[in-house]
Amino acid sequence: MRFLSVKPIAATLMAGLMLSACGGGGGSSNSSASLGGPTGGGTPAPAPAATKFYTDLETREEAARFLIQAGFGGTDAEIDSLVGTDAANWIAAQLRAPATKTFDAMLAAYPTRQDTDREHSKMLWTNLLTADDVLRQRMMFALSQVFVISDNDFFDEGFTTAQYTDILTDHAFGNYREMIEDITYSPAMGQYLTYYRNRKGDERSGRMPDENYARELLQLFSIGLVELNQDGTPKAGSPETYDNDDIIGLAKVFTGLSGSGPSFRWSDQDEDWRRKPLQMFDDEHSPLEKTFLGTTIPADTTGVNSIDMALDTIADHPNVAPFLSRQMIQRFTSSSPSPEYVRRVADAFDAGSFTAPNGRVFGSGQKGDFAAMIAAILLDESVHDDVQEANEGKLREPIVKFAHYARAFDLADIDVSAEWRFNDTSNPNDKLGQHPLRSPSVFNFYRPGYLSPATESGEAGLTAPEFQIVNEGSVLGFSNFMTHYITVRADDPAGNPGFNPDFAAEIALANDPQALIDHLDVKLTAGQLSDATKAEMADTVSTLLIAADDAETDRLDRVQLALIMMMSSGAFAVQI
Amino acid sequence: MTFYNRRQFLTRSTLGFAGATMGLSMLAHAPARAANTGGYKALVGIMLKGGMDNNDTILPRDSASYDALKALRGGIFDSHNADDPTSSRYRENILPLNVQDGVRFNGRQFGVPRELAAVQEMFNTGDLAVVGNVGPLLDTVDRDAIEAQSALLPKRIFSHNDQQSTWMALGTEGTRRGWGGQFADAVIQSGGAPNPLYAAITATSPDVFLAGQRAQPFRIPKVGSRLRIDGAERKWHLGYSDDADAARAKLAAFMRRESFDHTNLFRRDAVKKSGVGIENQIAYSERANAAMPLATEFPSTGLGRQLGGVAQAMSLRGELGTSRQVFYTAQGGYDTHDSQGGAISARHTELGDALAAFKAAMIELGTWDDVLVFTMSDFGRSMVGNGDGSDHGWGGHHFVAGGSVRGGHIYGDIPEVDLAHPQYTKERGRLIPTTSVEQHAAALGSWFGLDSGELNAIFPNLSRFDRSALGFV
Repeated sequence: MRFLSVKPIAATLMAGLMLSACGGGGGSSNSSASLGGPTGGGTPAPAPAATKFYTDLETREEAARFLIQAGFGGTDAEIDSLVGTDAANWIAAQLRAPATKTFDAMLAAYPTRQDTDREHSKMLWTNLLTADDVLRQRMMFALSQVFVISDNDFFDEGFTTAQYTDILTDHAFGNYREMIEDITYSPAMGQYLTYYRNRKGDERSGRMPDENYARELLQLFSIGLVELNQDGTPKAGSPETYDNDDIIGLAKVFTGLSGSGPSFRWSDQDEDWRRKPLQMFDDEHSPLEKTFLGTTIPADTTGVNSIDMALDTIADHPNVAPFLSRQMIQRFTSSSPSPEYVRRVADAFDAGSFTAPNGRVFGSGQKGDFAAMIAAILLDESVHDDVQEANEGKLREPIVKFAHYARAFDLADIDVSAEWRFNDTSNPNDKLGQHPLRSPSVFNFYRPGYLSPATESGEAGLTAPEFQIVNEGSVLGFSNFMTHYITVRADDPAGNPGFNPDFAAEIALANDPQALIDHLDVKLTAGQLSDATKAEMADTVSTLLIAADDAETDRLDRVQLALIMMMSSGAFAVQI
Repeated sequence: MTFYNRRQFLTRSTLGFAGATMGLSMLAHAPARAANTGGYKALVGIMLKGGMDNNDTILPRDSASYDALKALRGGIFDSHNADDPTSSRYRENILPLNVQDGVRFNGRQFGVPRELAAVQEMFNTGDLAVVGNVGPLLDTVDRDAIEAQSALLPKRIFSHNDQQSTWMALGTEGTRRGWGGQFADAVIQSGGAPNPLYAAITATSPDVFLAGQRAQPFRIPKVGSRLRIDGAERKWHLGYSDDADAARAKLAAFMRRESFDHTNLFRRDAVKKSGVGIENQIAYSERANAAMPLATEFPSTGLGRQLGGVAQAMSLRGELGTSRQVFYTAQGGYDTHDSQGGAISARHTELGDALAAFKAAMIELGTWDDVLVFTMSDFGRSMVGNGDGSDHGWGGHHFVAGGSVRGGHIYGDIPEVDLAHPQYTKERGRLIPTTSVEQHAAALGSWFGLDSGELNAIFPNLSRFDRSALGFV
C-alpha cells in the first residue's frame, strides 16, 4: 500500500498499474485521476498481477496501524485477518454491522425503575471494550466529544444518557441535520444546556429566554466563532460568525420545550419523559420575530417550525463542514491535520460522498453525511503513506489506549458493573483521567485548538488536544492503572476475576526477549518503536531470569515487564 | 440617580483610599507588614469557572437597590426562597460589608450571602477587598460607544473558553502565555527562583494562566498521596529475587527517561512529559511526605483540597528554594443558567470555607502577610434573569485577600441597579467593565515585585488605564 508515496519509482509503478487497473476488473476507473503523476526515472517495473491501491493492507504492521486509526487496535487474529485486504472493505463491512445500542438494553435491565444508578455509563464502557461494531462505537465516542453532554449532571438517569448516546450511535454514519435535530429534542441536551422548560420572555417581569443552548449550538456544535475556509483555516481577518444579537435572536427559538405530557407544567410531565424526545408547547414558545445569522423567522411561527428553520439555517452554513471535519479528524488520525486533509474531508462531508481508491463509494449523496466523512478521514492517502513527518500523528485518548489494551489481549470476563475502578475513571492520579461522556464541561476534556505550552509541538504551532489532560500526575496515574491490569489480573485470574488478559502468545515468545518485543511492537504500535527503544526494552526484559523451577511465572513476569514499558512508550501514546 | 463619569470615579476612589489609610484596621496591619522577614511572596489565583454571577455575590443591602434587583430577576430570588425569613437572600440576612469609603455610593449598601461569611469577616477586619466591575478591556468603553461601534473591544466577549483565556492570558483560546507564568518568568529572570520548577504551581489542571517562557505549571499531587512507579517499586509484581531488583532499576530508569530518539514532535513531547512528570512528581511527593503536616484542616472539597495543597507547597518553600511563587487553583460550576439558588450557594459555601481554612493555614505558617489571594472568572452574568438562572455577561466583581491587602474597600466601581446606567449593555444588564483585567493584574504584579517596565511588557494596553485607581495593596 505504500507505493503511492511520491517517489519517481512509485510513479512509474503506478503508470504500469493503471494499465492493469483499466482492464483488470474489481477496481474502478475513477482511481486513475488520483493516480496520475509524472513518469520517468527508474526502471519500469513489471505490472503486478492484481490492481493495488494505497488502501491495501499488505503487512501486519499496516493492518495493525489501520485498526489503531479506525478502531481500538486488535488481537493477533484480527490483525492477521486484515492482511491482504483493502481498508475500504473493512469500513464498508463496519457500516453494515448491526449497531450496539443501549436504550433497549437499559429497558431490559430496568423495565420499571427510573433510577438507574450509574449502570448506563458502565454499559457504555462495556461497549467500548467489547462491541463488534468498533467503528460505530469509536464514532459514537468521537461525536460525544463534539456534541458534549456530561453524565455528571444526570447521576442516576441512565435512560436520559441512553436515549442520547443512541442518537449518536444511530446517526454515526447518518446525516448531520437529522442528528442535530434529534439532539435538540433530547432530554439530555435539554437539561445539560438548560433549555428544557425554557420559557418565552416576559416583558412585564423583564425575563428573557435562556441563551445557553443558542450560544453553544453555534460555538461548539455547528459553525464555531470565526468564518472558516473549506480547509478549516480562518478567513482573512478572522471575521466572527455571529454576535450577541444573533444569540438573543436564536435563544427565542429554543423556548417552549418541556418533557412529554399534556402541558408545559412540571407536574404534568409523563413519568417516563426522560425516555422520550422533548415536546414543544407553543403557549410557552416565543411568538416574537427571531433574527440570527441573517435569517428572520417571522412572528407567530410555531415552535417546531422555528426549530426546523433555525436548524436548516445553521446546517446550511458553510462553516459546518470544515468546523466538524477538523475535529473528527483529530479524534481518529491526526492531532494537527493539514489544511489540505481538512478540505478533502469537508468536501466529502458536503458532497455526501467519498470514493475510495478501489472504487467503493461511501455516503448517501446528501450534504452532511457522516459515512462519507469517516471514509474520507480513514482512507485519506496521508494516513496510509509511508512518510513519517515530524508533525504527523495523533496523541491518543486514555480511554482509547485502555480499550486497545483490553481488545489486543482479549480480556476475559469483562464485567464493568463489578469493576469498581470503572465507576469513575476520571481521576488522573490513579486512573485514566477520562471517563466516557463525563467531561468537566461542554468544552469536552480538551479543546481542538489546544497548544501544549513549553513543548516542541506547541512551539511549532501544532494543536494537540489530548495534551490538555496529560500532566505530571496523569502520566504516573496511567502507568500505575495499566500496571494493575497487566499484573494483578494476569497473575491470579481465579483470585482476581475480571479483565483477565490472554498473554499466551506472548508467554510463548518470552524466552526470546527480542522476539517478544518485536511481537508487541506490531500489536501495540504498528511496528513503530525505534530500534533503540526496542533494544532497551529487550535488555530490560532479559534482566529477568527464567528459572528452571518456575519458568512459567518468570515468562509471565517478562511479558508484564515488557507491557509496562510499552504502555509508557512514545509510540503507544502517539499513533502515526 | 447619579452617573459618575470615569474620571470622577477615579478621583473618588483615590480620596476614599486616602481616608481609609488612617482607619484603625490599616494601622493594625502596618506592623505586620514591617515584620515580614523572609522576603517571600506568593500570589494565589482562584479561577471560578463558568462565570460567577456578580449580581448574586455582592448583594445590594439597601431596600431600594435590593428591590430593584429583585424586580429584574424575580425567578432567581425565588430559587433562593428569598421571601423566606431564613433564606440567605432575605434582605435582613445579607451579611453587611462595612465599606470604608462607602460614602461614594450615596447610601447604597452592600453585603454577601451568608455562605460567604468568611469573605465578610475578612472584609470587615481589613484583610479583603472587593474590586468591582473588572473584566477584559482594550480601552475604556461604555454602552454608547459600543452602540456607535466606535469602541475597541476584546474578542468573543461572552464565550466561556475565550474569556477564561482572556482573563488569564489576555487573548482568546490558544493564547500561549498567561500573566501568572510571565510573573514567574520575571522572578526566574531576576534570580528569585533558584529552582524554576516550583515558581509556578497548579493544584488543578495546567491552564494557560501559569504558562510562561521558562515558567511552566508544576502540578502538585494531592496532600498525603504517596507516589511511586508501582511496577518498579511494588515487589510482588515482578518478584523478589535479585534479578527482579535489577529489572526494576532498569524499568525505573526507562520510565523517568526524558527523551528517546523520536523524530516525531508529538512523540518527543509525550515521552518528555512522561519522563519529567514521573521524576518530578515522585521527588516532590517524597519531600512533601517527609515534611511536618499542617495543623490546619482543609475542607474535603475540590477547592479545599487544592488550597490545602498550595499551603503544603508553601510550607516547603525553603526546601524548594524559591522566594516568589505563583499558584493556581480552580473551582467549577458557576455557569448557573438555571436552578441558580441551589447551585451558586453550594459553590459559595465551598469557596468561603476553603478561604477560611487557607487564611488559618497562612497564619499557622506565618505567611498571611506574604500572600495575595485573588479570584478570576470567565465573566459576570446578566442582571436580568431568564427564569431561575442568569446568562453570560462581561464585567464582574472580584475578591483580593491577604494580610497586606488594604481591605474593607470596594475598588473600581459597582454601578447602580438600573438598566439605564451607561455601564450596562443595552439588553439584559450585562456589566461593561470599568476596570480592566490588565489594571487589576498589574496591581498584583506590582506587589509581587515586578517593575513598571516588566508590567508594561506583559500588559500591552496598560497605558490606556489609570493605575492609581487600584490601591488595594
